[in-house]
Amino acid sequence: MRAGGHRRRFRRHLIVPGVLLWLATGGARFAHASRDANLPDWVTQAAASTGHWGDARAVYLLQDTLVTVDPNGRATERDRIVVKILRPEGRRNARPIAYFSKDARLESFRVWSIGPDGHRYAMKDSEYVDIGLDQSGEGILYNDERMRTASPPGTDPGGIVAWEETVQIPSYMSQDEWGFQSDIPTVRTMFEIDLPPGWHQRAVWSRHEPVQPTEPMPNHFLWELDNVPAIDLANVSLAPDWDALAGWMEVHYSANPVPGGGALWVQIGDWYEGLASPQSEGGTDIATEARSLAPGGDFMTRLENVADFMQQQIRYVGIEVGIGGWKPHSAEEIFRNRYGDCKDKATLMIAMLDAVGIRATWVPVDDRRGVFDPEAPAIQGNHMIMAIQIPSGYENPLLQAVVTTKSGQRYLIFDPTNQWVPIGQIPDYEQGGYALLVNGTDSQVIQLPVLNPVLEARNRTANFQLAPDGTLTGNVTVDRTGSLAWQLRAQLSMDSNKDQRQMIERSLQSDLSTFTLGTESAQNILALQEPLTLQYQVTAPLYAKQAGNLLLVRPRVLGSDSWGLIDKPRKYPISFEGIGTWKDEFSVKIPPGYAVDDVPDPVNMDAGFATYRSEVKAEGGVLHYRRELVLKQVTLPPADYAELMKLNAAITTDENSDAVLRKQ
Amino acid sequence: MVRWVRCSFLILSLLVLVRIPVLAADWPQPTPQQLKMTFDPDAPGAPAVYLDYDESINDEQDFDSVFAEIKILTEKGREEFSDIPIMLLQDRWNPYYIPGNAQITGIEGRTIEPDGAVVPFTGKAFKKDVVVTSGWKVTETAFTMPQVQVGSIVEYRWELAYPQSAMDPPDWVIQRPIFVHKAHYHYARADTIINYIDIRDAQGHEHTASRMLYYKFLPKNAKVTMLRDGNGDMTSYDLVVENVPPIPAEDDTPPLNSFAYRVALYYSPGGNESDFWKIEGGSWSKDADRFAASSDAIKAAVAEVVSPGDSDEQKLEKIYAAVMTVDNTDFTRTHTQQENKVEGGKTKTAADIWANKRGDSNQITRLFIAMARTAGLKAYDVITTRRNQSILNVGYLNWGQLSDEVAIVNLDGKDLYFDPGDRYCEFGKLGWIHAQMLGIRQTDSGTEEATLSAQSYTDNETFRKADLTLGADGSVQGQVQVIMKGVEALRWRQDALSNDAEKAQKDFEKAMQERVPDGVRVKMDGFDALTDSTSNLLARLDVSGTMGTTAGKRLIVPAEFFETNVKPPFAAETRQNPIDMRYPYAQQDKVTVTLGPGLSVDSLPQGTAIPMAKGGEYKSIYSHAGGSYTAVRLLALGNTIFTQKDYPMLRGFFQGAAAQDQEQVVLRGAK
Repeated sequence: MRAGGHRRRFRRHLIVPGVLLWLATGGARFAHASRDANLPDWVTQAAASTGHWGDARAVYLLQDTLVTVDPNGRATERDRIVVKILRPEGRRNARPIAYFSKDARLESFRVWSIGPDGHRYAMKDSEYVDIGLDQSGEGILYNDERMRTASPPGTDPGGIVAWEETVQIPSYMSQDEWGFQSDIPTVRTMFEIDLPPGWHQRAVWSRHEPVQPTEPMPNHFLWELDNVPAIDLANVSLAPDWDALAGWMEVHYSANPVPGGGALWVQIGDWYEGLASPQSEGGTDIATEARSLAPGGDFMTRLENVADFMQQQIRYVGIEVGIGGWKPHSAEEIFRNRYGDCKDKATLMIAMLDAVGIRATWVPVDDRRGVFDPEAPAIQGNHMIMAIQIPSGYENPLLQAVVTTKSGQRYLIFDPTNQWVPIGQIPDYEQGGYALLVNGTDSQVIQLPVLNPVLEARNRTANFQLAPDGTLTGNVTVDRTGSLAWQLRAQLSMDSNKDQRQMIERSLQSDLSTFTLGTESAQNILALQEPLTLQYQVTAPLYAKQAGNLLLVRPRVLGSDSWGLIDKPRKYPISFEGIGTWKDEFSVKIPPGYAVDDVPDPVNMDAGFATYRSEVKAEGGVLHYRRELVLKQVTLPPADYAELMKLNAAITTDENSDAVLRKQ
Repeated sequence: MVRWVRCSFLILSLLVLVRIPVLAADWPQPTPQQLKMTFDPDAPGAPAVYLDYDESINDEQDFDSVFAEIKILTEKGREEFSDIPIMLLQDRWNPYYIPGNAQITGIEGRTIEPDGAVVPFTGKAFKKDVVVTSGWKVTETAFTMPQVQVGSIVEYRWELAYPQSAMDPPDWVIQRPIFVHKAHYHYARADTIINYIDIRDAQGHEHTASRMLYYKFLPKNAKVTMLRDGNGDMTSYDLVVENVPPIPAEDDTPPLNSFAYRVALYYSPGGNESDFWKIEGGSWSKDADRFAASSDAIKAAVAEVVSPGDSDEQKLEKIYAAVMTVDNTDFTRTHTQQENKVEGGKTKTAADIWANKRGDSNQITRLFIAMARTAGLKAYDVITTRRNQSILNVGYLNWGQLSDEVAIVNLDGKDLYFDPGDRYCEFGKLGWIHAQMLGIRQTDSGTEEATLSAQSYTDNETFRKADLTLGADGSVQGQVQVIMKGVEALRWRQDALSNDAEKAQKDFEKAMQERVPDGVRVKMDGFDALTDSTSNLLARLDVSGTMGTTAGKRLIVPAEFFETNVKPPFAAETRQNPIDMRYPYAQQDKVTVTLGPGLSVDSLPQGTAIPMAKGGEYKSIYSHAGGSYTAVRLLALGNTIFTQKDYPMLRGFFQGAAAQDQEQVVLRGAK
């Protein structure tokens, strides 16, 4: 278990309630830790570590995890952490936290600290604070996960905080994670597992070369790593998710031999199917509803009708107790209440599709691209989507998010939790990532498709007129499809007319210093298969700038497609929100008495992973600006950063370039 | 004020203060119009509206009840009003607070579809410990309504049953985040202790109260009705309100929450508003004086700091400078009592703070007062609010509104204001969060209301200077200096204090990078006087990269180097609430660009002056001579509060300035 980390379950976004944390532990002023306490040897030994850690804010001097499994399979995890604060910001790494829940009972928690002046403190039980993890902002009404924390004395630069926790591993789990990498350097980290005689273990590694364990005692295995570098993504543009970069090891343990590779994925898939499948057995009411929604028609029509019901009628509400973090509620319950979380939605939809003759299954995934590692068989992910079997030979252009399994079976991937991406496609954040297709003995890892950039499009067209005083007036139309539409659909579906207007005003503020928004409208907000269209009128006084007898006009009137990158050496891969095609086509009628004197040079760049073309033409007293950015890959290796910088610079220059009009 | 009442308890929510109601026997029947309603003309654009709300606190029978009927009008309304969390604070240390066995009971609810179909709530309410400490805990009971769609009406009710007698008058915030068509509030007093009651004030002093009073700020025509029993004693209070607008929610507003519609009932030892502030102020003042009492240690400290021949002003300056060296734990880290003990320090008096060289903002303020008094000066404490959080509403008799202390020293008959608790605040100034705030001050004869001194734009000046060399290919290099006084200096000094100088430098560099033209790279060279509030703060940066774009042989570059990528405030064309610009300020920029070989000025923008009637001015001046050009810019804002009617003027001023900031310089000779 990573210090301060937490294994995610099938739902989205785990957050620590900062305000409550502050409220609860700001009371440190009332703390009565005993001073000059006797510290455990492992604390004093680790505290004696020395080294040079650059500008790191803190350093883990020790992370030590021991998993003990008894002959009945009951397991506990004991973690020991020693962290040294190097800079004030490092205090946040020195907050002791132990996560626990109903099924992962916290057996013990102890905290010590050493002030920069050498004073030693041991905290008392009465100084600890329990905090329930609040995910109400993410639609989780209730979960049973909590954390115990404390505000130890002496947490200034030079100070050291140590803690030890022992937590039961839920009885339904037979794997444990060693998250050995952090956002600060780690001097020494170790993971031990003590197994009953005859038991077996298998370690899988993610983002780190496998290290062989020693066996200091029979069936007691020890892995060790020294000087693990930090992964610090502060101020890194287009960074992948932190968890997509950090190394970890997962140990599977069992009384029976643990398979490796694909067989282990099958075992995990089988486990989940056994957990979820009974929950998808729907009653007659579900079948009746499904058949009334999809009384007939071809595969796609039935699918669309059920998907529409799921997306529009089932509210996202998470209620997770114990194994409920993994196991869905029954389809009956979800249907009756019309609410559920991601795995609930997938389960009800599987039940409804079954009623109309379509087979579907669960697909655990992580909605942070790159986090799910296909090379490390383990229960992974924070989200649940689904795979729908496509009948043999069936073709439909709407089926875009399609994967083919090793057996040749085609599946349509669908995320019923995202109510703004149409059936046939998947959200940008899932494209290109990996997931587990749960299908009994045919369970396997799949890569989620990256869709055709043409389908993920934003087309902006506008016709403007420029007055001699520099005032620009015109009508703008913005069409969005696919993933480039879903966030705006989500926002607009929540917005009032006033909110919608203010949203457009805020976007105009980025490009126009002074403006007046005329009429505006939005169409097809919930017609997911249709382009989302925004139309508005705008007037921008002082848009063109007088310079002597010249008038300077920026042909790229609205919007920016650049990434705001900084020219610094790149260490980490590059991750875009998603692929797509972004087009602008603006015409600006120049004012009477002016002629075009100069226009920016055309741009034509092909970086392989993306192309950018732009040109300005003057025809018949009208400036025509056209540009197109096509992004074809969702991730890039660090080595491509220089090329991306060149592309970004070209786009930025193009966006800022002026056409020059001369007074006749 | 925290009320402490015999045989009573407090129910607090971190989100809302919730108390009471008597359960209705039957559900109300929505009207056909309510069922069909898709838009509420009384609340255009509202995500949802309360059709009815009923809250009753019954101290006589020891239970509270709540009933709500909410019409869901949009998807946002469905998201926000389908889940019902009820949070309670329970304090183990104080037996008079809500005991652990108080129970949320009687949760009932139903969802009514637009066609009138009723879906009863048959689900489960989940109780969760949100925070548990050794002294108190917060629990949440939450449930969610079934089959809620846009157009549904959600109705629910619940009770909180107390296991023992209670006597805690409510503080009802009548205004809610959404429009309320009708609401009813009721408070039934416990009739056994009407004659007297012990209360504890904000400073922990106990008083005997015999009267119940109430503060009200209500919409027109709303009235609190007092009901009496047969003996003529007041037994309950009743309020019906209709058509209550939501709490305003716009950016850059003054803290209007301080003036939300509310009714607060309270037991009073005095008879009226002024008695309340006199009594509470007296308690606070006594504590402040006790803390700031002179002592041998303080005398020694003063003797160490001031010289016998110093004038009063010199003494004050030296004392202020000395106090500024004390570690302000509000910006660094609060230390535990144990740590203080280890280091031999107490925190009960100003002398302790001086000895520890550590204290929080209010303690440091009191230390300053103690030292000033010991030096023979007349110094007074003032307690006030934070401008970005709340404004003292003296009609609302709640001492808890006040949080921050500043100091007044009377020098040569004139009251001067000091803010030693705002670390690095300049001598003789107040931090902007305290400027012009209403507070309660000590006087020679007690306490009284006081309005704190205001800031002028000259208190918050920033001068940005860039000396750049531009090549014919657009390459640029040079230096930037930013000299800061007031708010900006404080911002970066306190950033360094809370983090460290390195982090503050990175933050400053990032902030500057976001302002300058695309292609330009700024790199922080360092701060000067980062820890010396008697000097202006200076930031030095190096500039490199490219600037401008070419058009044929022309190089077109942004004229206002520091404002190129800054967006003007106030995108929205309309405004419903007053605007708070927080503090007055002045920005002066001077950018000198030396042109490289082959480059010459083709045209410079016309300079301009944009005055604003209510205290604003913008000027830009461009000139060129020899091989360079200079852009000078001034933006000053003298006022901070603007009415809704002022909005077009204010928006126009900033948009006009921003348009000027986007002017371009045209150069010849680009390569």
